[in-house]
Amino acid sequence: MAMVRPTRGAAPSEPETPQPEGLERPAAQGPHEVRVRGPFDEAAYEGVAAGPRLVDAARARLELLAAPHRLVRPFVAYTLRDLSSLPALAGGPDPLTASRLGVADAQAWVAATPGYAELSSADRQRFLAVMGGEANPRSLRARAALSAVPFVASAADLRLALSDKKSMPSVISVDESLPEQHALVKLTGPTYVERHAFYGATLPADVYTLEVDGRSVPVFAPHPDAQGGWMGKDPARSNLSPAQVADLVGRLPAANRALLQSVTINPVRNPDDVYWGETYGMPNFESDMACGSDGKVLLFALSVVRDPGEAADSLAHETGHVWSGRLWIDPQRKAEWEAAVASDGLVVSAYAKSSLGEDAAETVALYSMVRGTLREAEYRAMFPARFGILDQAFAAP
Amino acid sequence: MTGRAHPGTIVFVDESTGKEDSKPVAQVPESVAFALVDGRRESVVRVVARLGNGTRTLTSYGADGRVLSTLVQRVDGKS
Repeated sequence: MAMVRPTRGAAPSEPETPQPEGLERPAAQGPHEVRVRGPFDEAAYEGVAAGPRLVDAARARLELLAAPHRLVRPFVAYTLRDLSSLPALAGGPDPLTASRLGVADAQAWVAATPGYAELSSADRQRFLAVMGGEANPRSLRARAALSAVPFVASAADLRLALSDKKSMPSVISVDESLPEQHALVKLTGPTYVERHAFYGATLPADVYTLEVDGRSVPVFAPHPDAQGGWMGKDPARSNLSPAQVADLVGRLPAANRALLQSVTINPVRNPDDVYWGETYGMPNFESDMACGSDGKVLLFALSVVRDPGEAADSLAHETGHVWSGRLWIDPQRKAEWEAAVASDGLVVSAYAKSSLGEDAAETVALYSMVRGTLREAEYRAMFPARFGILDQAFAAP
Repeated sequence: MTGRAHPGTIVFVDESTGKEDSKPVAQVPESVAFALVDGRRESVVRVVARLGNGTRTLTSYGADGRVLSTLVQRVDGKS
């Protein structure tokens, strides 16, 4: 704990309050300057450099907790309105190690800003929901991002903080991922096909069947040769095996799996990569997977080893597109999602901001990843309207 | 598969730069200009590129604004 040391004041006349270690108790009446030994972040306390400010100890403690401690400052001076709360200032977590605010402190921090009183009740509720999570990474991010919020934040500052990209993941798969397995998927076959039109090559194929949830999903794979490769195989590229695809599909929740119509393990890279490389000035990039609005998934051969878990997370997002693409043929259903986005007032990730379709896909991915976990209730408090819609479509029995 | 006449141009949008570029369909590979949906060949009129987590996602839209397909690409450095 940082040491709190009074720099002015007379000897105490009523020593009824036990003194925290490192404190000398000055007179109980009137304002008192205290120095809290650092190190503290220089920038965060720029406004303090001109002289002590008149604050109460609880406020000072919050500032100490919220500030990042990158730069060394020997002490921060406060002038306390009174000394009744001095033990609270001295008794909190060590600001040198408390890099993130706890829930109560974060909520108190926001509530103490001048702008909080001007927020609508809906915005206040959003702050409570985002700051109030104990288990989810989004709340940790949002609380950590408070260090960038001015101590005298206006309502506009606070609204900006709610939508600040620093307070959310770039894409939801940075913070969350699907559980290891939702269901056992039976892989049967293969049936040999002499000529199959893969994307960019017509080659002999093995057609497998994934049996899950009473459904059959075809998997098209290149037929292996005696060396375990396949005709025309680029030695620098690889793809998942049919068994790995079964594992991948098994990681998806049942409602997401139901949106898949087929999976193709493409033996070659996407021939369109040349075009896209020229378009974006990045000749080396490569297509990973494609998903049509009809639920047909294409896994391209890659120059790197594809991680099935990562691919499953991507599929959770892509099935969100399939779902919204089908549902939003009815404009009323699209309008319902738009209304839910407006009602929730928060976005799942920075990427979700880019369009309504990406918002749906990212939210479906999040829902699929946290359904049935301890984090579900915390996210549901942040996105109640959208989770309500997804309850109808994605909540498997 | 059913063939459909393409409206003629495709608008490419790069969300990271805000740049929009309209190209005649003749200058675009057929596999980019059309998407196969349930066995039907649908015209792509808008392709939006978005960056995220080491990937670029290209979303192809039809004339009615529907998402026809998404293509996830790896950006350099992603492994």
